Amino acid sequence: MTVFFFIAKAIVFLTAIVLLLSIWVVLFNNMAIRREALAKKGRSALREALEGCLRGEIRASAFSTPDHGEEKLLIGLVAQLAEEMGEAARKKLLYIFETTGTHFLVQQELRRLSHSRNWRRRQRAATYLPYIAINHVIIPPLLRALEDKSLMVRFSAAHSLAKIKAIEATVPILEQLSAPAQWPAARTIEIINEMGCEAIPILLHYLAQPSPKNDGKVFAISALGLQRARQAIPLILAYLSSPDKELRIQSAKALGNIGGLEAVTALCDSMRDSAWEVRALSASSLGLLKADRAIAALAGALGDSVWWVRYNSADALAELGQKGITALKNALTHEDRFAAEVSRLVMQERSLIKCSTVTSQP
Amino acid sequence: MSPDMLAVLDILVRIILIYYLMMHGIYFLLILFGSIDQKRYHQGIQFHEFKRISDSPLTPPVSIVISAYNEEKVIVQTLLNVLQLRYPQFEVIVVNDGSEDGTLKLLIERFQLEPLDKVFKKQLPSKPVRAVYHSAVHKNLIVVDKENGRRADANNSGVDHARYPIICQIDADCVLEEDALLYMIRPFLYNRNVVAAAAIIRPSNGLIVENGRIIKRNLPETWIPLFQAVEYLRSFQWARLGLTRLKSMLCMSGAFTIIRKEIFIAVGGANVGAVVDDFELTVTLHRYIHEHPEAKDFEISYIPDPGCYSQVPETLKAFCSQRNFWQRAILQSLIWNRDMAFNSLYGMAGMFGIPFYFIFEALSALVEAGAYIIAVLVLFFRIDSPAILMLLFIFGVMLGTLVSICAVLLQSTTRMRQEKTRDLIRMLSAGLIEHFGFHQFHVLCRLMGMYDLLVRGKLAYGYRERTEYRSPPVP
Repeated sequence: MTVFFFIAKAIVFLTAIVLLLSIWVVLFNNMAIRREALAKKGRSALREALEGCLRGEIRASAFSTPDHGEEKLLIGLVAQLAEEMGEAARKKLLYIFETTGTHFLVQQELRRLSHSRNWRRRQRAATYLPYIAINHVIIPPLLRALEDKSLMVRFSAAHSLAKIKAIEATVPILEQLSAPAQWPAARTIEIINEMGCEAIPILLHYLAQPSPKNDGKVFAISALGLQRARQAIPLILAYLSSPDKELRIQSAKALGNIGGLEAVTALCDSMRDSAWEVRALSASSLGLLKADRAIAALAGALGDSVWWVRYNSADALAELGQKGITALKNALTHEDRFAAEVSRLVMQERSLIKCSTVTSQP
Repeated sequence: MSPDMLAVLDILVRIILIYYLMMHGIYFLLILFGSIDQKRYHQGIQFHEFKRISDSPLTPPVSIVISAYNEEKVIVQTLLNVLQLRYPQFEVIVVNDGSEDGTLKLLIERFQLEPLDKVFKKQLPSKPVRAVYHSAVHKNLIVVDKENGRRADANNSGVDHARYPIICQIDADCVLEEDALLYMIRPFLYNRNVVAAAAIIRPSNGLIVENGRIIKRNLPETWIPLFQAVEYLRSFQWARLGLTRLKSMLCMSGAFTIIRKEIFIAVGGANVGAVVDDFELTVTLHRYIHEHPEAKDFEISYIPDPGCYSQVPETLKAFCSQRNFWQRAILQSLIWNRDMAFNSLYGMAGMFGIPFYFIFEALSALVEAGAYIIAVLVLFFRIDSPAILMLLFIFGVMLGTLVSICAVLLQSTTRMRQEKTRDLIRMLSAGLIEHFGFHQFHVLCRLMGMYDLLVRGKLAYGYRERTEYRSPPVP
């Protein structure tokens, strides 16, 4: 029992310490709340000053340099304002860093990006640099950061490069962020899409290359679709019959997003693809293209073996206007029960017909 | 008392003391692990990340399944709250699980529901569906009216009707933060191996809700929910986060869980025969991950952001009924999955998770009751009583209080600290006095739960009460 008594004494001692600590934490919490209120005031004042600069009421040179320790706050506020007020505000705010005594912060963040051992610091620097430094200063280090060993740093650097529309980073981003098998493709596509239409020629050139990696091509096609790049249609059409399933899926989706009628025939052919994902996305895309000549292919797919293909086909028919709706109505009496059921569902969802029976399970 | 009896008593006291020490020690370590992971989580969130997720056309759509049984007091506010979530694309499927009150009528009137000939592929076991409705005002809302079959059954039916690849299950008495789904989807976006995620749940009893929006996040006003607030803090905010790090988190609360539909179907959905489905579903997920080589890299994630608030019982009767229910659920699931215990095939879940939950969760009520009986015997037979009683008090009560207070104090060091000093004092006080009466009552309820499961074979919930959300005062 001696050991237990010894442990018991330790517990009593610890409890006493924790109780004393509680009193200290209560007092500290009280002080922290007050300090936070003060900091909030300071933040508001700094924000007002920055907004004054943006409105031109305060000259940037008259902007007072923040006290030591407030740099983080200033950078955060500048980034926040730039996000809220848009690209023009970001550029104006950059001018403050150019003309006031705050440019040392830029050097500090650049050093962190290149040399910090802590990946979170490198990531933070990669995130905030576009808000405090001009493009030609930050593009080379951010491009280098695309090869960082931490994926999160690479990701933040790519985002920042996309934010400042550094189109020369498009291919490096495609190459660097398509590497890890675990990394979801959607995140990279978002970044490429953020580059805007300036990246379209580079993406087209990348797709036209004979041997880039298929992963990169998937991202490029998807981004071109989101950008609605009509000039990409011929290239994407070629990929619609690629042996790579992922390429076919993204091509079918992108053609719908772009909206060119020249893709209708190829998409109708894709309704016979062996992969159901391609068939389902082709159906959705045909609905977006709104071409009457797709009706036969879509009506034929109402009896597909996969629910999503049936549903997307019915939904696409409803999108095609009166002729499509007539095809759906005809399918209500279709001998194929699945075709009739999915047509009824879509028409009811769109309030085109009322529910006739109480639902029972199939 | 004979010397033999005294020797047995001495051994029993030693076993109980070691048990207490191990239980509270492990909890203390889990709380520490949890606090470290929470800090990492917040540091890892990038600037404007949730806005980016919310704005992206590539964020995966989510089907939110809400099972509702006799929820007329809260269902409208819950639904209004869910429909206002900031998320690019989601549908809401309310499954009216054969309610006997006005839940369905209320839904039909408030959301202008119209019948729908919904075709669905029945992949999971559930009771027959009576009707499906869709809303004329909210295009992403459907209501499935089915025969009563309890929550697992309702969730299965909801998942059968879900369109999207990711399912979010919530209880009908839950209120979500506007960004809750964004918090939940985040791990899925960065890691393809994440198949399910759970999050911190807090009591909603002090919330002020207006038209489904959270206006104020107050602490519960009365002591019973406040004790549970400390308990939720200890277990949801810290211990489960720590257990997740050890790949041993065996309970994704059914109040707020997100899971890939294909996995939910692959494991056979929620177990309709279980007392409660969430614990069993989590254990089944762990089993699936370890038994299927193609799933070996799958992960369950835990989000230390307070996204969901759930009602906790406000009366002792309702509290007892809930804890009785939970005790039955844990015990049943652990008995069903006993082959996983100390089985290296199941990794940390088998080697640590299942034994931990069995020894320190399922059996703790029994051991604690044993400690109280020994204390009475010691008093009755006047055996070296002050020393043994003091040891039992220090290891059982004082150590538990220490862990509770540490949990509250640790919260004060995070960005989720109490906004008012008064609230911090109330939480500390609750942590301090919880072990003097309330905890013993909790032990009694759990003992009753063990009896109800093992002797009476009871599965049903029992007594339950719902209160409406507090509204802002009229000016």
